Amino acid sequence: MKRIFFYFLFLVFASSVVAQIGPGYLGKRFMLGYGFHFSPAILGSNGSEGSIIGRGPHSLGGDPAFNSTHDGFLEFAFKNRTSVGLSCRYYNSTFDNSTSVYGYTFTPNGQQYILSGEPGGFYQIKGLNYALYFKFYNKRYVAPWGRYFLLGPVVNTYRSFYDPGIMKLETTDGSGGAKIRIDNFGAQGELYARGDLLFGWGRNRMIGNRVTIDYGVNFQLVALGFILWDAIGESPFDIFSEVQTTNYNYIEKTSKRRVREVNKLNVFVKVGVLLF
Amino acid sequence: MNYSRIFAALVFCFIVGDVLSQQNLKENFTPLKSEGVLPEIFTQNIRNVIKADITDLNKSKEKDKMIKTVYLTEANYEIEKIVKSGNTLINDEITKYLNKLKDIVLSNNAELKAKLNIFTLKSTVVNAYSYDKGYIFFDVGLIAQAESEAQLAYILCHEISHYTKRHNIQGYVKNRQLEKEVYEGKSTDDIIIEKCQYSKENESEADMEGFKLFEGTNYNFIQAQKAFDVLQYAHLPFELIEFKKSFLETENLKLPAGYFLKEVSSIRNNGSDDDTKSTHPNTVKRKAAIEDLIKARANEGRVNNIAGEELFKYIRDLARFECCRLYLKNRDYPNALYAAYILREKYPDNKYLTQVISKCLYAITLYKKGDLRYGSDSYLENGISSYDKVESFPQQIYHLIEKMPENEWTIVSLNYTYRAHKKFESDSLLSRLSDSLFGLIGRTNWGIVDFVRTNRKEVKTEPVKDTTSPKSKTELIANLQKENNFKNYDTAYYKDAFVDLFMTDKEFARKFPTSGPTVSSSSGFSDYKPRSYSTSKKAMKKGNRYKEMEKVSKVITLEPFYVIINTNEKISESVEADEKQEILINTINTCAGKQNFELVTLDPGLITATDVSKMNDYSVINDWIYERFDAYENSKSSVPILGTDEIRDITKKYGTTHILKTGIGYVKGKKKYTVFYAAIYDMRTNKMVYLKQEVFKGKPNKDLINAKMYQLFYELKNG
Repeated sequence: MKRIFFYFLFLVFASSVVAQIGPGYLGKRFMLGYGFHFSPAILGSNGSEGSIIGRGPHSLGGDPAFNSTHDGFLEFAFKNRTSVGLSCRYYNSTFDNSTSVYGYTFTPNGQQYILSGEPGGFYQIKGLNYALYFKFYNKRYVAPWGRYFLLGPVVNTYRSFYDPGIMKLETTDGSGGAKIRIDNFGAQGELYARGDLLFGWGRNRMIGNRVTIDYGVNFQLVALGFILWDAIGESPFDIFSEVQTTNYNYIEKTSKRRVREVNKLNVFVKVGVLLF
Repeated sequence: MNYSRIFAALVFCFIVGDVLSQQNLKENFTPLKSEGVLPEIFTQNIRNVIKADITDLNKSKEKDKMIKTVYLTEANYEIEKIVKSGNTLINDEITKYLNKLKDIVLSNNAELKAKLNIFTLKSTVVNAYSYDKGYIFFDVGLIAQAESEAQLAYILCHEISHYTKRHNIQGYVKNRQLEKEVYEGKSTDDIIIEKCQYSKENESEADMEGFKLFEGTNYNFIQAQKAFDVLQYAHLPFELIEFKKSFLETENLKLPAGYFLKEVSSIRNNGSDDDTKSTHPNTVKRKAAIEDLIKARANEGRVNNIAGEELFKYIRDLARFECCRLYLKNRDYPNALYAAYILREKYPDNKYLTQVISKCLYAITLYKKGDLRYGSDSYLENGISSYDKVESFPQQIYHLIEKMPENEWTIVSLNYTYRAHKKFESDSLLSRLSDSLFGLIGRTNWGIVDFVRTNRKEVKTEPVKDTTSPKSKTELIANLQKENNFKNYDTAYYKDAFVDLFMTDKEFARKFPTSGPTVSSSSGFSDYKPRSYSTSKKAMKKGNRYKEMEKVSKVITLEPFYVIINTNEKISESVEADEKQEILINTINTCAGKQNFELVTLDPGLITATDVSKMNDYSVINDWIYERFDAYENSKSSVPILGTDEIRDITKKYGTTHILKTGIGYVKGKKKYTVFYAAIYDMRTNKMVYLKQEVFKGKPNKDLINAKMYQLFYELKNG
């Protein structure tokens, strides 16, 4: 994070030197702020009908659910109608386990069991998205004020956590009556990273001479491209990759879908302060 | 102590002082300027005035209070707009004179005298008008046309009667009431006729009441009647004298007779025109009504002038000189030329008149070459009128403009202007004008070789054989006369024009182009550059035309405008616009201040009573802008400014050549739009160097104005 911040500062100063700096808003060009992104959970990330969970109410109970993301950002208006920004978005979400999985386990005597079914409970996803974006303000407007279009690369990183006491596959051995339990779904806090392209439209308004209210819509292009695929849901056997979903790759495969759901399309409201 | 001697000395000093303060029109003329302390209307807060007026109205028992409230708001803003337009003269010689007439007319009514404020408006229109607030405005054009002091006094009496009878507010109320009748099925045409009828009744009443006031003076009654003749022939120049061919001729330049009409058209008598849709009765009716009054009164011993004939003539001449300037400002060059021609008869050595004539000839040359095109907002948007639409002697000028080819105009113009320059050698304006004309000669196919011969070349043209059907005897005679006229032409008559100058004047020979066509890169007058069509449309679309702008760190800013147009209802938005304008002014100052941008504010809304020089400067710049906008500019050529010479002094005084005109337009309605406008003009080159005209959806929020204004000064400062 530190490194990214320094890259950003470097970019700001380099662009200030190279390009003709724009007027900013009343001479202020550098903005620091907080944003809140949210989207209604329309398509189930876990494949069950319309069910999705956000950080709020559990959707399985039938309550409406929203994906929500918190955003800290820095922006610098380096040209008349262009700003460069760095944002770090954080979200904490869960995935309801409703996708079938082939579970593999070995008893102490070396006997292998293969179980098929849906793991119980859910697992948790904590994500951080790093985006370096450019805001291109519409003709007539002056960065950082007015309507704009934004574009930039984004890296979505996230870690998954699960509770083996809840997230498990269980059966009773037909012959010996022994309980067979699969609760190993990989390492705790495993880190995943995916790249995407951030797009968006918005409008920045001013309150007083320092505070900005920015609102609009943004989406991640790749995530949006998967909208139908995600709607169909995950199958235990991927016909394209011919990879079977097992307890070892279950989280890796299913979390992608959940992360895409969170990031694909969001409405946002941001509050910023023009520092200098 | 001998009091009578002291009194006599004081009177002498007063008279001598008055005479000494007069302009010496035999030598020169200085355009009229406001002087002294500005009256209260310049410094008062208009919103407080409106508030007080409405409070008084509400206390009274008058009817139609709603309509009158709107009237009071609108009228106050209208008066303020006129007074602060820069076209109003205060305490100048003409206004002082008009006030002297007021003192004469109202010598027995001190109370009414104190209520009236008389101003002169710099306009060639022949009119005077008054408001219920006691403000009376006289156009310079009316004073230029008046034949006697008594005529002006009668017109003043007429306007005072409009004030005392409150015709303005009554007319407004009546008009609003009539407009409502459209919902009751009345046609728009009928409503117009009724409005005009009501207005005519008021005018007739003012004529009668004005005459009663006039009767109280010792002015000649006949002059009251003759005042209507002045109004009837207001469309004609202030005097009618023959425009002689010899005026533009010199020993070696004799203009062909064919360029001049043998007879000019007669003057149409429009005194009894149908006045059904006119706000004033026709002059025949008005004169007849006054005649009835005169018949019943003895006119012996009454005089045409009380303040003095000499003074009247001097004031009228001032007005006439000012009209020359105003015609130039309006780019009405034929009228300016004719007005200067008339005055030249009386003041043959006046430098100002020579300058006006030279400017007109130069401007007409540009017009004929297509380098000067009237803008769509100009009242001459269709260009200089055809001669057949003009009456009487001025028709010769229009005919000459129409018939003489452009290159010959250039010769005639240079011939006049160069000789004028030699006559007033120290005058830089005439020098620059003649230099510019040398540049224009360079664009012809002629060079010095074509003008150095001394033998007049006789060109004989074969009579054109008429192949059309046989004509009558009289038509044939007319044709023959025509052919003879043309046969007598020496088509190269103009080539001898400069023979004497080539022989005796080294400067002329040096400056004259050696061979044409060449395009002078620096013509020397207003940095004028010949027009070029080479700029691509693509570049124009991209807005590249202003990319070449240099950095600007100081501008003169004029009163920014804030206009609200309500498309939904016919309600007054003046108060809101006025309040918003104040905020806009603050924003402009803040945005400029934050960037250490030097802003010279010439805003009549912000000046104090002693700021008369600022008011005059504002007026000069406004005139410059008016003239600048009256003509069309393309990307390469600049628009010549000929009516506002003082602009050079302004640029020196304020240390900048740039002026900023900016403002916000807000269209209220079902759909809301905001227009941001900012333009910078370079008064040195007469070019627009920066233009932003942007439309935003929605209302003009604070952030929009802040952002755009800050951007404006940022772009100016950083280029």
